[in-house]
Amino acid sequence: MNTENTTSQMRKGVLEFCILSIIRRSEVYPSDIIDQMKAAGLSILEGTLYPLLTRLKNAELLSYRWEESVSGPPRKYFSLTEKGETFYQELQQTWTQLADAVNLLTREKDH
Amino acid sequence: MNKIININLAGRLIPIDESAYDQLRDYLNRLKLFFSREEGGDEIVRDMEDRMGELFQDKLKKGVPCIMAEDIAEMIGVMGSPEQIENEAGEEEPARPAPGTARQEQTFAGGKTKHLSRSKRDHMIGGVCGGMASYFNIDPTIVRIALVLITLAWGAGLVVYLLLWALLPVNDLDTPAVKRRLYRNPKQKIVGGVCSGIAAYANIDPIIPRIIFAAPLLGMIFFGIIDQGIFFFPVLTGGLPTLALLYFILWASLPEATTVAEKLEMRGEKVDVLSLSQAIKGAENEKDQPRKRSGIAQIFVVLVKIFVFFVLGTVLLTLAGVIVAVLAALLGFATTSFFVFPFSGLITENINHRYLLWTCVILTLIVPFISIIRVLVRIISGRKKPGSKWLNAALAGLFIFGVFGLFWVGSSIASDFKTPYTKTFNMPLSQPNNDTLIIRQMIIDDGGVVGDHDWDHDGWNNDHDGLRFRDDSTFAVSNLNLHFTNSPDSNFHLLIQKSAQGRNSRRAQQRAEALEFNYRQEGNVLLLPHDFTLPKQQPFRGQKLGIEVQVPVGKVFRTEGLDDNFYTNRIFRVRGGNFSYESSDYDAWDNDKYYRMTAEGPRSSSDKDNNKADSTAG
Repeated sequence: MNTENTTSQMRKGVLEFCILSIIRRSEVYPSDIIDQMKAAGLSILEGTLYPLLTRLKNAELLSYRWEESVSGPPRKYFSLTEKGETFYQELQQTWTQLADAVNLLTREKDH
Repeated sequence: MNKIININLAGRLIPIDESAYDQLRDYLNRLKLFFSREEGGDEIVRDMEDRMGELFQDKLKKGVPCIMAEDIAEMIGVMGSPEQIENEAGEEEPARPAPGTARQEQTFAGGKTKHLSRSKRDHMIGGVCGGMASYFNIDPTIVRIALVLITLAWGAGLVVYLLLWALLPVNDLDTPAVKRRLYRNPKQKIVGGVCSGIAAYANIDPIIPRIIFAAPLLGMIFFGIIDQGIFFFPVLTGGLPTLALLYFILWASLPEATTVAEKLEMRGEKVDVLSLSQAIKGAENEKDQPRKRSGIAQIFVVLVKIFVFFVLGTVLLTLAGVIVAVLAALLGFATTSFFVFPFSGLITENINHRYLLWTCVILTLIVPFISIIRVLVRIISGRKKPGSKWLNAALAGLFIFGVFGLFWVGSSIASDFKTPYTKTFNMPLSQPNNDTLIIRQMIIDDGGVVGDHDWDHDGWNNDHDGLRFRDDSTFAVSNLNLHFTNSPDSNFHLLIQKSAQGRNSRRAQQRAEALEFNYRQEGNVLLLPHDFTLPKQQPFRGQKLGIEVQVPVGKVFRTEGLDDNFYTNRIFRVRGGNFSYESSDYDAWDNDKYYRMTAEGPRSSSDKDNNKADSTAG
């Protein structure tokens, strides 16, 4: 049991939730997601994002449209589908419960 | 000195150093390989290329003249290597396994007992072969081919398959994937890559299966040259088509190992990122080095190729012929059924049986026909996935229903032949005035109308053999025979023996008594129809009519225009599921001749009597 493995496991779980949250706020294209996550202090390997997006899209939680860009080829703009919205709600509920529980437990430990 | 090349990376023009380009290509290849096992893998790599292009463009905007090896390393650091990506974003939920990853080797909880089950994942029809393959840990293709061969040879394979399909539970869990799969090896192929695929599977040199497959062919050439083939000929002629057929079956059914992951599976190697990237490096090397052969070897290979193509062409044509023959046979059966259809009232006991019989006949005909067409379409279109599971199940169900229905109706009909019944009726006959009885065939057309005497009876009767319609529902049957015996007294007698079969004697009796035989007597001429009729809706259950004319000793009889039916003894027998029909002619007398009854039986009369007959015939 090493720290790296555990941290990676912890991050893995919330990664999808974070990506969905960013997309839910506004239509974004992949580089935006990376920038926003970096800004929030959650740096990830960029390569990780693309398989996740494709899987979420294949699971019909996300949809995308092409938009022309001024600096280069057209970009894929992602948005949440209805199914994705429900999925997100469920994740959020779980997250709130989990975060509360974790907070409570870790605080009690501090006493 | 390093060359700078311009590449188009996802729609962006990127100037790049040559060695950096090699690294980039290598990285992209590894990504492609890694994601090739995942649904939408191409899309992922495309999106990543897009991001790389963006990163490089940012770099170039900052004033860098071109992308160097360090930039690639930095980019890989940002994006992550396939292994790192797997760690970070690797899938764990079994809820949505990508089809590609499912083939990956899976570790199973030890000590778990395996049960024979149908595989949900590895199925073409019902998953029986996939389940068996998983149970014995072999390639499903091998099981499938074995099953097809058994079915072709004895038909038993189909029964076994259907039974297992019905009995075995479906295994919903992912069965442990077979580590090794039989593929065709496109890299080392001479004809179809089957031999080298087998070699890779069995981890032997490809020359061994090649020799085995080519042995009958080479032997034939060899013994053909030295002209000593007679002894080996049966072995060779038997072996060549069999092996060629086997080769063709394998060629048609095995997929080609095209992706690197499949190539690894073919050799039974573990499929993971490391082995994949090693394999692709090896593959690239392989590509760079064209195989070298000496001139003679090359000529030999070309000759073998030509020969094998020739033989395979023949086999292909033969197979096409077989398929056509099967279709033709089905069509023939269908046509026969169509012609038998009007007579079905004679086969079945009642209307329900009749409907059941025809439904079953149609089902057993149509289902294989549809299946053959579907398989052909699937082979031609190259689609590997079977059609709707429900459709397949429904078709199989209908076919089983048809077969069992036919069996049931058949055995029901057979049991209706069980009990025979015979009764003899002594019919009134007025004594002929000049001690001569003429037996003449009554001419009846298909409408049941008694026609004029047509002395050209040979041509007339040939079209009217066996069973035919009298009108819409009445059948005329010519199952009768005529005998002449000694009369116990000094009078002529006519005895008619009616017999029939049935599932019990009561039913057999009903059937026998219902036979209608409308003979007529005009002076000393006894007019006999050459058939009897069955009443409406009565099936044919071996109904038979025996006509016995008792002639007193010393008196004369003569037959006029009697056709074969009168002296053909027909025996219908249904026993133990077998229907048998025998017919034999007994040649007791000639037409248009006078016979005088003696104590030993009929004797031909003299010419003098013959002349006398002409005056009495009218």
